Amino acid sequence: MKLGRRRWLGGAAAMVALPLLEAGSPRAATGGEPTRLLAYYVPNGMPMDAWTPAEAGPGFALPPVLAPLEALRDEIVVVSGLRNAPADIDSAGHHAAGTAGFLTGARARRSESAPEVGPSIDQVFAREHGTDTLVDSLALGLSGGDGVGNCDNGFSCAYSRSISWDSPTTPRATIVSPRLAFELMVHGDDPTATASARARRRARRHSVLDYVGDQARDLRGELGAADRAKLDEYFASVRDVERRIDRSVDAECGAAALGDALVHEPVDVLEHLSLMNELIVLALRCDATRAITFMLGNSASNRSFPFLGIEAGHHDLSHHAGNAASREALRVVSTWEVEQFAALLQRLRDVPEGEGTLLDHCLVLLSSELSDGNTHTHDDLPVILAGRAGGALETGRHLRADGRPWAELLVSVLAALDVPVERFGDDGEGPLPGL
Amino acid sequence: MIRPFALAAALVASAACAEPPDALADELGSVAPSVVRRLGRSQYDATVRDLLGTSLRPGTRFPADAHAHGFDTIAEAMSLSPTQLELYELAADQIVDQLRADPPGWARAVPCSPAPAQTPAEARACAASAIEPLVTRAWRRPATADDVAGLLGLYDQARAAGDGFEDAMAQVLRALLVSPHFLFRIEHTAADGEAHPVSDHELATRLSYFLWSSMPDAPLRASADAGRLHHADELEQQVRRMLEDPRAEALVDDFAGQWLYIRALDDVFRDVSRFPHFDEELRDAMEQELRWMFRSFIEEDRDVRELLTGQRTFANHRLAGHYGLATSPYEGVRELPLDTLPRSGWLTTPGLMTALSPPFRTSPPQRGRWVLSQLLCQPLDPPPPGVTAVAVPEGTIRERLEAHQADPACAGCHVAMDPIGLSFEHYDAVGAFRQDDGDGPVDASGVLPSGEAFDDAVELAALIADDPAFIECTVRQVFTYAMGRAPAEADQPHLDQIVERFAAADYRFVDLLVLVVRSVPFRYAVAGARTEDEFP
Repeated sequence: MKLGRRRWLGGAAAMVALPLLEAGSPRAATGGEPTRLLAYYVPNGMPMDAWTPAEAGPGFALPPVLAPLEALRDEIVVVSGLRNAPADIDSAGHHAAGTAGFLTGARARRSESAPEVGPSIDQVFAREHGTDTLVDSLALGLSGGDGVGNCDNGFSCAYSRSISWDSPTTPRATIVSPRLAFELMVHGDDPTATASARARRRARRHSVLDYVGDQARDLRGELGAADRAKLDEYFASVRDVERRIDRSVDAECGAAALGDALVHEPVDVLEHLSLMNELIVLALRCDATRAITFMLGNSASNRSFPFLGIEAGHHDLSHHAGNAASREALRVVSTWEVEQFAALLQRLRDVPEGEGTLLDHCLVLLSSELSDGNTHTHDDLPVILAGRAGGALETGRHLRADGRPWAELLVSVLAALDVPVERFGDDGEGPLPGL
Repeated sequence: MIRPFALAAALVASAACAEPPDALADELGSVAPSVVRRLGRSQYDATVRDLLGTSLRPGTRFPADAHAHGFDTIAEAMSLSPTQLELYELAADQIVDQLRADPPGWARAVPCSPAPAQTPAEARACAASAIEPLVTRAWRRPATADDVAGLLGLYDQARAAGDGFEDAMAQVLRALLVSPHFLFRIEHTAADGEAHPVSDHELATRLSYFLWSSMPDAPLRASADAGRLHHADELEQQVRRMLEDPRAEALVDDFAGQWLYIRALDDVFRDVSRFPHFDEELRDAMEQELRWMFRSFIEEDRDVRELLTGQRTFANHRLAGHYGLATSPYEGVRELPLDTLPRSGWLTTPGLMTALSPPFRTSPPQRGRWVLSQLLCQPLDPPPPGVTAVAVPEGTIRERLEAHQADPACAGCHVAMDPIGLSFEHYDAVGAFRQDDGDGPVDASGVLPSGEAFDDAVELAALIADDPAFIECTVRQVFTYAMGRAPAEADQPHLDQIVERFAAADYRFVDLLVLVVRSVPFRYAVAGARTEDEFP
């Protein structure tokens, strides 16, 4: 593939609204801007005493941890008081169960090797609205798997490392390499090649996937039930990928994106995060996908923050047991997390799109697996919604949800994304009142 | 290296052997079902390396597969999402592109090149002749006529679309690498639900992924072709041959890397103000030491109890200094005696002590818990609901931990973890020896729940080495890794038998590998429904 030398990291000001896909985009047909979902996960809960605004409604003051969102106050809704009862299991494993319940609103099956929980809202949304984009969804994160050990008290590591669930038993693999994520989006399609060469390339992919799909179908009949389930995942994946082969990369979004920034793997967490933010903005701006999940850390992350002067691990700090120094350090870490989130929102707002900004056409949802990391509670979750979802969400306020089920919020989010469902998860029997 | 005379004797024995393939079937007993295994990241990389000679390692960028039961190659836990399938597709493209740009590499992978004057039919015959051995190797079983016909179909399609011979063969290679026959280790089980020996090629594949994390090589395929592999002697001979091959380093990377936490050193972060001597060079030296030490159990067929009691290690000059051994500068890694030092085998290595410490101090519970779960297979029950950290800011580490034991909710686990963990307090968070931890002289003595007393970690290591639970646990770890599943109830009699024979073999590590390979679970299959592993 030829590497385009145009830089796309030249700053937000250089970015302009671009034509998206060459063909097949409903936006091209209707002129409307598509609504996108970005689900943003932060590990270990939040210090709620420094998070929850004192006043409900508009005109609320931002508590210390939310201070980085000051310039974006009109773009967000703080939702307090939501309770994720399915995640509140009666044994240890609250980090895993909470992370699994984030986008599913469902109780995770306690099994080390046979997880079952989903599906997650990003996948439900992607099935409806991701069929015309380059990739139906992207599951991104900063952390791969730990090299050793198990995860959380008998719960599959999949619960700790994935928030996106394709089916109740199949997590979407979390991509941590920004370059690999980009390669997945473009998939070898070179916008500078001739039309016939690009068509030939697509035909080759079709022919290979047809062939291996047939093999999987044939094999299925020869295998036992447990093996068949594995082959079914394979077969479903083949079909999923095949559907998307004919979408081609827009010249500007494809070639331009191969700037210098993605040719090496990031060396530290700050660079990693910055590249991931750029990638997310690019993917949404180019309508390469409409469903992105992002994990700032894995469940119960014990990352250290030497660049903040904090040596202790995040999870260790969250179990502060009231220790004043630990609480202060936790507050610094949490504020840093909100800063990173705010920086991404700002980047989305800097991209003009249609009559407004890219952020206006997104629905961004931030939360964590827990409310208070010290006591492993799942009521009063830390929740921020951002973006106007194309007008479906009224922003600039603090909504008190007073103990209502978290899954009701998921129902509301799906509705805002034009996926009307009557119920979702284990206890989302309807939309969240007031949202 | 491994006793060569034993190898020669085995060769003679197998040549003269008239033993029926199922000579061990009288031990059959019960057989637990396995689930089809997908190639893990390191297995994918090793397989494409051995299949096509590529220098690419696409698996290093794949998302991590979920760990279960201590390993990331547990079949049931390895799911496959569309993202992973696309990554396989991308990886195949990249591998094939690299081969195309390297004519000698291409010629090795596709050992047929039609002359310009050849007719299309001759070129097609040439393609078929290249496809058959590729399928046999890549899919780890003899190619069938259908296999070859299917891939020739792709070749024909490509030629009809105007591709030249190499472009068409590139298409065949892509299909070969994205095929479920390549990505999964397919085994056929009898529909009647009866246990039966796996085929010779399936057994060869189990063996090669166990020892090499890769595909069978030509001698192993030849043995399977000849129908010899189910003979006990032949199996043993193959194991010993394969362990002498450099590919057996996969046991260090993937088995010991996870069982004994060598991989945990990849992610350590140390506070530089507290540990100014800790840097990448020292971390690498620690990792090398662990790798050399584990490798010595394979190369020298050592008694696994020496993993805990061994009195020699392998260190470069930098690490020797960290141990406090004054040596004149030297290059590379040397074998060094530990007998003058307060050290004993794996447990007191700087590498393990570092891997089991948070960034800025030691954690006796973390170390104690590791010994229980990894070496004794006694994972602790999780803390009861509602338990939060105990705030005891004052006092020595021993006093602070004793406060945990005073709380009944915490005592159950801390009583088991803490005496073991405190025995390592002479080794700081980078594994350097210390007499004083800053709060006063270190007291590493303790009493196990069994009543056995020890003065320090060296004595504790000897107690653990003598504990039957350590041997049983070692067997379980090897078995879990070899089978890609946790032992089931039906496996227990077979595990007991391995333990018994392992004792008779003086606990030599290579003998353990042989015993697992010769066991009924390793050689047999039974169709099964989805297995359950509900947490107790």
